[in-house]
Amino acid sequence: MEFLLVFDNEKIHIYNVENNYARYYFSGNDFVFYDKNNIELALNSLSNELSKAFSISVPDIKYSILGVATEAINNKFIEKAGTKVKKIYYVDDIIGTIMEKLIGKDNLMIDEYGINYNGRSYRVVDGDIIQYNFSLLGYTISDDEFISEIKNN
Amino acid sequence: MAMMKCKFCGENNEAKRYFCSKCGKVLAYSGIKNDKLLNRIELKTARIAENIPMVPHTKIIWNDMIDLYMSKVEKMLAVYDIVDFDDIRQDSLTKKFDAFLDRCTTADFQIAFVGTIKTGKSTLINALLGRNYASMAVSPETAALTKFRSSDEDYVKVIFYSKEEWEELWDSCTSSADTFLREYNELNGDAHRDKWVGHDVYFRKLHNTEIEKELVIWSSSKHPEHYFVKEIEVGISSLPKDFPKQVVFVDTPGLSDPVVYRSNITRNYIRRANAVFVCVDAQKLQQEEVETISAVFSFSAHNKQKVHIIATHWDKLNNPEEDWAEQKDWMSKRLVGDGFYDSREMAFQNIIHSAAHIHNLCRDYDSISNSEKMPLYQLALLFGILPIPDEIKKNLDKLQEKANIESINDIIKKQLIKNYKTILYDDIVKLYESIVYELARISGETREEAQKIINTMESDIDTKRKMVKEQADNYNAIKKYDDTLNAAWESIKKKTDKRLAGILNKIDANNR
Repeated sequence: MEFLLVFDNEKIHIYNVENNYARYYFSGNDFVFYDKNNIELALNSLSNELSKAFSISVPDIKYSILGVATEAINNKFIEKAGTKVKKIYYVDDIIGTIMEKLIGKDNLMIDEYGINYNGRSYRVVDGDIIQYNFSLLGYTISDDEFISEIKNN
Repeated sequence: MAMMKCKFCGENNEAKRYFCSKCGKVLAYSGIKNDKLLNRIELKTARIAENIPMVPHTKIIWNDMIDLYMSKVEKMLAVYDIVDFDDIRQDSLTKKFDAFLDRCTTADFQIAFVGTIKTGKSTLINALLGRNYASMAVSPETAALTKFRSSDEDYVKVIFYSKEEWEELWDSCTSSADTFLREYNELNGDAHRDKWVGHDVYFRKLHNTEIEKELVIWSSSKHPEHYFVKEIEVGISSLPKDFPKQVVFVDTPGLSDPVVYRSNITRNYIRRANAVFVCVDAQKLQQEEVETISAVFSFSAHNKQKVHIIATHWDKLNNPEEDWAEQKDWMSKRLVGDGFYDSREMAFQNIIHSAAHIHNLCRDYDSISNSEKMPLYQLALLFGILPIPDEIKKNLDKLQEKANIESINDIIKKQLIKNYKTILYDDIVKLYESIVYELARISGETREEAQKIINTMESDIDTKRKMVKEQADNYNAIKKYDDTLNAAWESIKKKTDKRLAGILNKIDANNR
């Protein structure tokens, strides 16, 4: 069974890939906090919880990964998830695809002010997508819009 | 209350509103006639209004009011960061924002120990911590900023410079950094640089007794690793249980570091610190020490009460008690006024003597050698105690009391630690108010400038010609004044050079 893990520096959101990317809820919350100094523990507890919740064995659990954390944490996640990783999504690539679809639409001002996602702003500078602090003039896309783009990929 | 009429529906609104309360159109730009421009401004204002609730928020769990201030400042910062405002951003305000965010999120109560080389900062910290952790070797040893805090377990954490920070540090070496560069080459710094610059944080749990040795590796000027260390943090499990975990002693390397980048780190810690202990030698308050004190006050102008002057090596005065009374009286008069304490009473209260080395010797009496005990014998004589082992041992408490570390401990516990949450809160609120004031000032200035531009655009051609001519006349007047000053300066310079040449010739003639 495949799950999409979307994590920032503090929290992990989980989406059930095989159930049309439905969110998974932990006691009423659509995220769980984790200790960034012990990612292996976080992944193990997560795998155990999902194994119980869906009555599957831990080895049958596979992850797609989307890291919105620092580069060091993103890399650590990928390293610790090991053979469980089925696919890695990169924020810049998804943002790039979304930008291609929306750029040029006048009222969105994306070419000038970029796109906001998950508290960060992404703008195209000299052909590269560069991250900045959240921009009040940026076009903010929701988690659902973002996941929808992953679904369509 | 000032009111503004909406140009679309005619509704009267309070002037401070951006959107009409009746029709929702933008109010503030009613004077703009260009539809395309107005549409764009409306679009941007609406975008800002949509995004404001989504500004990321870092939750502050230790105080609800501070959490509220944090939320407000995050929104202010998001507005300040709008790319359209690139030209009006000011360094001083950017630094205040950084300082505010740092205070709220780390919530440490920092006591910075500052002083020139060998004033006994590390010895004092060791006395306050109850054990020798920081190195007190003869040659200058504290080359890396070191923080000490209470912790459930003993640990040492080392943070290294990133590649960008190292390049900035290297570029900041001034012309007086010869010693730094020579020692760096002698220790073959380049051979170690690539290993440590950009290295992950080093974290080691260890036994309390191993801390001193571990610190030497990372902070001693004899070890090449220290060059690449930005900061060290030491967790100590043996501090009293009531010593709050957020209180941190910061041992700083020095304000007069010829590597400007490093001395700036010290400066930033002083600005940020909730209390500063400036260590000066009780025997002499020399120019360098006065400059250090003055620098500390300049970074603490909004809260001079946080500055304490600790006169160290008190035991080395000829007649410690009488000489100190005189010295303290003199210092209390000298360190009052512009750039120092506000009143003599505040100065007197905040200037304290100490003899941390004596305190530590008394504490460790049973484990130190006879030669190490000599300073105790010398002090004992001054206070009528026979300088023999039995008498010294009987009077350790009395000698320790003379060292006056308990008074400093009292200040820390009763004034600082007891009130640290209040002091921290007050510091943050003052920073918040200062940010709001600065933003209002910049916003006012920007509005005035914008209004001038609008007035110029809207005035008739003759008024424009008159304004341009006035500006040209002002410019010519300033240029003429500038030329006169330059001519005067050249004349003075020529006369001075001539006089200097004359003096040098006379010296040469005398030497032949």
